[in-house]
Amino acid sequence: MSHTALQPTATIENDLPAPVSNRALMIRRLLRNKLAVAGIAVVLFAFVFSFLGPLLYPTDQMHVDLGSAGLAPGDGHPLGTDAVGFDQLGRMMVGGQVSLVIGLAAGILATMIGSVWGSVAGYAGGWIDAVMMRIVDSGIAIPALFILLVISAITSPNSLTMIVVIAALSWLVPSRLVRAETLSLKQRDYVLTLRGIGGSHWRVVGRHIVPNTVSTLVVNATFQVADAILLVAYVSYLGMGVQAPSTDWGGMLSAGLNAAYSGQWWLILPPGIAIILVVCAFNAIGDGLRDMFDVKGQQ
Amino acid sequence: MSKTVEGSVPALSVHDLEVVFSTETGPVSAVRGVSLVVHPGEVLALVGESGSGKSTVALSVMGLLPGNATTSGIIKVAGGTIAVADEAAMCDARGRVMGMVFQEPSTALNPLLTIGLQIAEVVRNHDKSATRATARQKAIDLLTAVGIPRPEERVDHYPSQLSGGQRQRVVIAIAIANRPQLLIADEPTTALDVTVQANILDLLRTLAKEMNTAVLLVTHNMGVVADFAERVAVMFRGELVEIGAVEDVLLRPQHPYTQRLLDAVPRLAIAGSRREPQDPPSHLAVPVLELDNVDVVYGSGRRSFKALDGVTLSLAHGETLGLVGESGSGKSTAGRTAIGLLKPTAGAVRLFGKDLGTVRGRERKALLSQLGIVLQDPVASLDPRMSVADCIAEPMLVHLKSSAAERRKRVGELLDAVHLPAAVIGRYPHELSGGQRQRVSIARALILEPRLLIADEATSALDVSVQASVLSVLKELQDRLGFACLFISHDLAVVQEMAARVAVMRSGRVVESGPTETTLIAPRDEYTRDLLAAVPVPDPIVQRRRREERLAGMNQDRSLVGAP
Repeated sequence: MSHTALQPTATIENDLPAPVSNRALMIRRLLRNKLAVAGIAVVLFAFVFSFLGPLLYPTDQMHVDLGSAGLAPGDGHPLGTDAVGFDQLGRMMVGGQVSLVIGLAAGILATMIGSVWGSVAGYAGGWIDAVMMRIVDSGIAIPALFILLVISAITSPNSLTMIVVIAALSWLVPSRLVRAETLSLKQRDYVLTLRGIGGSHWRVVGRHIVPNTVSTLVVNATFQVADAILLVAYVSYLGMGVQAPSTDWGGMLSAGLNAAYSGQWWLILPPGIAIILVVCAFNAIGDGLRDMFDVKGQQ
Repeated sequence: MSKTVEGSVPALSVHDLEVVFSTETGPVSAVRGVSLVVHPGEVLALVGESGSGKSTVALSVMGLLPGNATTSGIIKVAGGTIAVADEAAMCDARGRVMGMVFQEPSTALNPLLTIGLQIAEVVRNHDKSATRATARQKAIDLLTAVGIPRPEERVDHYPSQLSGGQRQRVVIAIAIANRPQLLIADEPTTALDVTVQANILDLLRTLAKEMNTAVLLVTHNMGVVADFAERVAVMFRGELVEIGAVEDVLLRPQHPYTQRLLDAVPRLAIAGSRREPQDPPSHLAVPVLELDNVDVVYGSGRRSFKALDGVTLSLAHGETLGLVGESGSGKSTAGRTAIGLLKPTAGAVRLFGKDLGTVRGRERKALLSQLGIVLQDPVASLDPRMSVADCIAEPMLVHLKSSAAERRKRVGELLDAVHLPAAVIGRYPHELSGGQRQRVSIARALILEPRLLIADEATSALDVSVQASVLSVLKELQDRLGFACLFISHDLAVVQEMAARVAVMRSGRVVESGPTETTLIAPRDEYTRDLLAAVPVPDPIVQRRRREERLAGMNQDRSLVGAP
């Protein structure tokens, strides 16, 4: 390719603005949302508590110790013990691991399934889109909790099956969101240009459509995680969650319910408050991320 | 100005207006020390390029600035001072002493209410004694005044049942409902086709004269200014750089910015040839693009719509064909059909001699690799998540096996060719201006040295000075690389400048085609003639003559043509 130097035309405007670090601007927007910052702090604390806590505060969560069952908070057991003698603080850590891991993994898996389904449906259009979205519609029509309970009743669930089942039930909403986004993205001029010069569908979807839905997805994923944590809690509360000696916050709530009438508040309040805090925190983070990605809603 | 009456109360006076927007990157000063006066019955045009602050001035007068704006200065409408903070007083003034016409008629009206109700609402808002019946009658009178045919029937229609031009007439009817002393028109014809634009400007001119209303016209179009305004104020980067009578400013500009701006305005040649005729394209070689009796039908059955109807076009090697027409004429559909984005319902599209309908797989990809595409919207034509270098290099990734170093080298060459500094390589599209982005699009289109470039309204969204530089880049590269170009545009002056041959489209058909020098100077087809006559030229004296000729022509066949 031979190249002759050209005399730049005088009228051409070539002053570039100083590089604005987009990332810094976005982080500033996120940090301006005080609730989101608090949410991040709560979630970080929950993870540190559940995963690093047992290293600093080791307890026996395997062996029943009826001798020290139902102790009130006090020496040796800061949050008391439960009906079979497990240390309640240690149990909060173990239960937190299960709740957080299932919630996070199920939320992310659901978002991934949903984004693939939605982008394929939206991009393909026509009858493929129609069929795929009718499947989503029928899925939404069936209450997720009902299916979850049926499955828990048939099988004896562990963390992995819970993750898969919850993800399989909650990818529907993100798939709708991504489909809507894809419908508008595929009409963008840069997609038309690429298709016009013979770019493949894979390149269009992989390079242009999916990266441009990332902001929607990340925001939605945080809400999905919150929902998944709640779902786990529901199911466990109804006694159909992960099986003992493993537990999660919902299961602890359920186990503590009988004891609540005898005034053993330490079996109810800690897991209940933990669930509320973490779910609220994930929702607040989602709000903050939405501010962060949304350029138009800002002054 | 001879027309203004000394000593009368001005309809609008703005004194030392300053507007600062607080943004997350710090305060931005949008308007700095602007003072101007509009007298009753006078039309003042506020012109400037995007970002000059002209719309901000109009919004300040109406008190419609967004919440993050801080203003200082004095604005007086019809003698009364407007304190922007007093929302109740502003509400009363809006619609009563001031009327407003905005750019986009489709969003200015509520789609769920009949136009009659929307006009009546403005009447009754400011005249509590008006009953439903009198307000309705007033609405019918207003629709008559703005030239809507069969107003008794139309009053019960919804905005979606009207054409764009008619909707803008309804917006004008709402604006003049209470005979305001000041009419603010912010780009009132920018969203409209030229023939409709001419009619709307005629209407505004007549109404303003009849009601002795002052008009503040905000526009970027120098032709509209020449056609409509009596005085012109030129804004540049938030400041008023020149103000004076329209003849003085447009014909004898004093400020260097005004001179530069006017130099950049593409001018419609109305007589004689101004571009050297190109060598006639050799008809021995295979045309790079042929549309052979192409039909494109959208939808099916009763709701089908024929977007292209027997279109035949041919583009020879190295030639530029201008495809012109108003919105809905099918020119963009033709462009998209030519590159295979749309399948013709009937007829054939041949690219470099091969039928695009039959080639498949690798052969089709090879054909498409010789194609470059530049589309209209500088915002939407680049992926916001890709760096400039990735955007430009994309066709190489699609069609060639290339190393990162090769791509980097080639991107550098192309940036040089479109006169962008090498520093843009790592930048993202949102950091560039509209003109710079459009040059990135051109670089992307040319990276594989295509034999055919499709430019669909490639400069329509740009300011005139930026448009001029983008067009010059395009011409220069065409001279050097020798690609053929299908140049689709609604702007006849730009097409005259770029294309040797031109095809005029209307309602999916090519109504006339031929060399630009003859077709766009002495057209044979009546529609082409109307189209040319409707384009306002940025010379007030010439434009006045053209307008009179056009109106005389229209009066002759008024019986044939209704209002649009």
